[in-house]
Amino acid sequence: MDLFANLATGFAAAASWQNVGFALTGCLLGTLIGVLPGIGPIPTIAMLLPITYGLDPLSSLIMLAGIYYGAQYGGSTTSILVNMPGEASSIVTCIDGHQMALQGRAGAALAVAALGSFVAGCVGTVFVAAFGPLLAALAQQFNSPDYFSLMVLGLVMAVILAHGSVINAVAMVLIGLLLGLVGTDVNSGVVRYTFGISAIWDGIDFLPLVIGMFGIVEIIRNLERGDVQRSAVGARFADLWPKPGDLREAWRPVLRGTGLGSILGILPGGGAVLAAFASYSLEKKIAADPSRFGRGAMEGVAGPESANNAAAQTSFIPLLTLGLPSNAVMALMMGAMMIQGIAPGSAVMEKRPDLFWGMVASMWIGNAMLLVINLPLIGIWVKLLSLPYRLLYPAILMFCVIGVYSANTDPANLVMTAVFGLFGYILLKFGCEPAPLVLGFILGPLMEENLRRSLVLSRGNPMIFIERPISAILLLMTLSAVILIIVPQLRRSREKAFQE
Amino acid sequence: MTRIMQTGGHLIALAFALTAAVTLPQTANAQQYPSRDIRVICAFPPGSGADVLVRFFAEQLRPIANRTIIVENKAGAGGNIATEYVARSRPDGYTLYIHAGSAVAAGMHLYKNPPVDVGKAITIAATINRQPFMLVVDAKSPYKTVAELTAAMKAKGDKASYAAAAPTGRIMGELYKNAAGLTAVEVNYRTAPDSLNDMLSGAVDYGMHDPVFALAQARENRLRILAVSTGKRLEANPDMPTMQESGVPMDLTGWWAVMVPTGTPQPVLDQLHRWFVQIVGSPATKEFLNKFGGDPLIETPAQAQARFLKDIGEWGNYVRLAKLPQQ
Repeated sequence: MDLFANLATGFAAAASWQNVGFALTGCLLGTLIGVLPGIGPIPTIAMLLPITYGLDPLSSLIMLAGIYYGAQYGGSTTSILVNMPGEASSIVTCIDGHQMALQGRAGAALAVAALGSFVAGCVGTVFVAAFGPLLAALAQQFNSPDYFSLMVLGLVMAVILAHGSVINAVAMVLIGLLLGLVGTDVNSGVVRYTFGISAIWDGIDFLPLVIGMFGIVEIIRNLERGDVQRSAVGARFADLWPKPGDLREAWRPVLRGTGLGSILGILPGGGAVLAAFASYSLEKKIAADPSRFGRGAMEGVAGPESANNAAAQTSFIPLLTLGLPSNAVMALMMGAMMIQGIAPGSAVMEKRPDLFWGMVASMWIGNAMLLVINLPLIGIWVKLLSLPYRLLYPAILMFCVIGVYSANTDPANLVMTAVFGLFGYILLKFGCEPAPLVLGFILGPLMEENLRRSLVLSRGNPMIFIERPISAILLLMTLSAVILIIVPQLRRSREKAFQE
Repeated sequence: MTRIMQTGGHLIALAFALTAAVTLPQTANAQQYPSRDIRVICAFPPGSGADVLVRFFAEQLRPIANRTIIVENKAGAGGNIATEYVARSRPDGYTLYIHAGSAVAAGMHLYKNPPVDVGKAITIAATINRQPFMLVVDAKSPYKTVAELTAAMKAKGDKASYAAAAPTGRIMGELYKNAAGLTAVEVNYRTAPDSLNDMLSGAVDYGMHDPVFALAQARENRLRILAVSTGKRLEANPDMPTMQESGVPMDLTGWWAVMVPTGTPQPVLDQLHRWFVQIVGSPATKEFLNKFGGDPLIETPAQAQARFLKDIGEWGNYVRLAKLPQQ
């Protein structure tokens, strides 16, 4: 079998002492920056890029890749412990993961997230190895109208995310959409809704929005509650490990999340984010008792965490097979390859098989390392929760501020973080959840951009969305999702009427 | 008497010391430059192809200047935020701006109220490269030359579409349409890679794209490069014809430079110029720049400043021609 011969080449290249060392360095760094709120893989890789000039190409790529998927592991830690997503893709993990932590099951949540990520990482890597070129060809079939329909589907699924009222969730998605429109319009080049503030000409940054609406709001909420309840949380950290029942509950969502993540990861743009949201919506829809979601459901952690990690692995496919970076981290990896004199694309596989397969093999090695790094850390993380909150929150706040400022060394982003913190707190008081808003913020601009572009291409004829088969199928799926949302709502209101 | 002499001597010594204290730092500044870390401002967010370019030069500068070089990303408003920041920083040679001089010139016209008059506030210390934009078509399409594409697009009339993802691409598209008498419709993308699927499915007929994207996809045999936007052919790809040769009058040259705020002392400017002549002249830099589709560009400070001022004038016409909205 070719695949096995190739993988043997890869392991031979990746398993040298030097390369294992770089994989470990990358994974450790990735875990660290994933845990620190606000400091993401993009600035880290950008800063480390010059160091890699002197390294052998394979070693440098192994280390940079390690940082990227290591951050996916670490990002779940802060989401679960302090309700602060380190990465866009771990926003969904906050919803049920943090609830589990509040119920004293932080250890179980962290362990399931790590195990799920490991399984997903391994399977995702198989995807890269076995179907890389095939998946890339599939991603290439997506034209502007298809992207529009995919985003519509994503936004409709965002409504399912919320466990409160559907009306509130729709409102949140729409507000997110409006926030996403701020800045320069791609189609015409005109700036919109900036009130002359040049700091937001390129749009509102993701980091201030998320740190404000999740991190700052969580700090305010905890301070409001006082130290009493938190110490109650800390007191019950005895059950560190998931019980056998937890694992039985988790393995199916892990596999489903891995599947969704592997496929959505190859799409450019919000692949990993979309995968995590899609997995959550799927788990909630097929659960016997959807009302558990948002109150600490194991599936709500296992599925999305697996999905985002699988997507992180498969997002390498467009870069390695098409020479197309699918997100900012991949663009940096492309830069790293070009500096090393390697032209990213299918030629890498033919001309430098040791490099391509070595990187694939290193992903396995890296995922195994991350599991080894992360499982023993769980004890430490959970102990952290028993720290008095008055000591914990200044540290969290400080890291948030450093992260937001260092992303673009722009003080305006700190002001925005504060504004979004206040806005998020008001929403909290009205019982509105931030997750659908963030999804609207990410997907909304993509939807608008592709909608308008499609209509320019079709010279104004909306039939373009139905004539293309991919788009038509996605729109049909959207329609059925809408029915799935509306029908239980109607039934519930009827039940209520009967009860009264 | 001796006491007075002594006091006087002290006074003279003090006066001497004071003068020295006032005058010494200035001479020392120029002679000992650089005496501390140097900051390089990058107008792109980390993770963009241009960010890699800036970091490459920062890394090349480090051993020569023998100082730590800190790259600071000040992205936003099409580079205007970084330009304004540099123009307002202290002209002492410790804040360098590595960016496309052509883009800084264009910034004067893309905004209704440019925050600084770049022609006056920014000085070019050294040039780095010159690079083209490229006219590309699907590699499966029958068009092998600009003339063939023009003929086909004329026949297609306003049913033809083309992709553009940056101001330079939009202007190149507009210049081509004007010169060839086409009525093709412009379709905008956030980044050049976003347009690939639409180009390969035939939804758009051609594209005006940056060399990094165009070269990568041409290597993969997905796109075919028909011509470059520069007035002269490039050493990086000597067999690619220019638009000019293909009968479309055009000289759109992107060029990168090391820029500093005006008022930087001449000795510091000279030092910077010497450093970058050395860096840009090295074979490693040539190889690196060629990979990005551009050629190393070494000009005298006077030539570089003249190129800058000429671009500021020309971009005004381009922006009007392409009807780019001013912000």
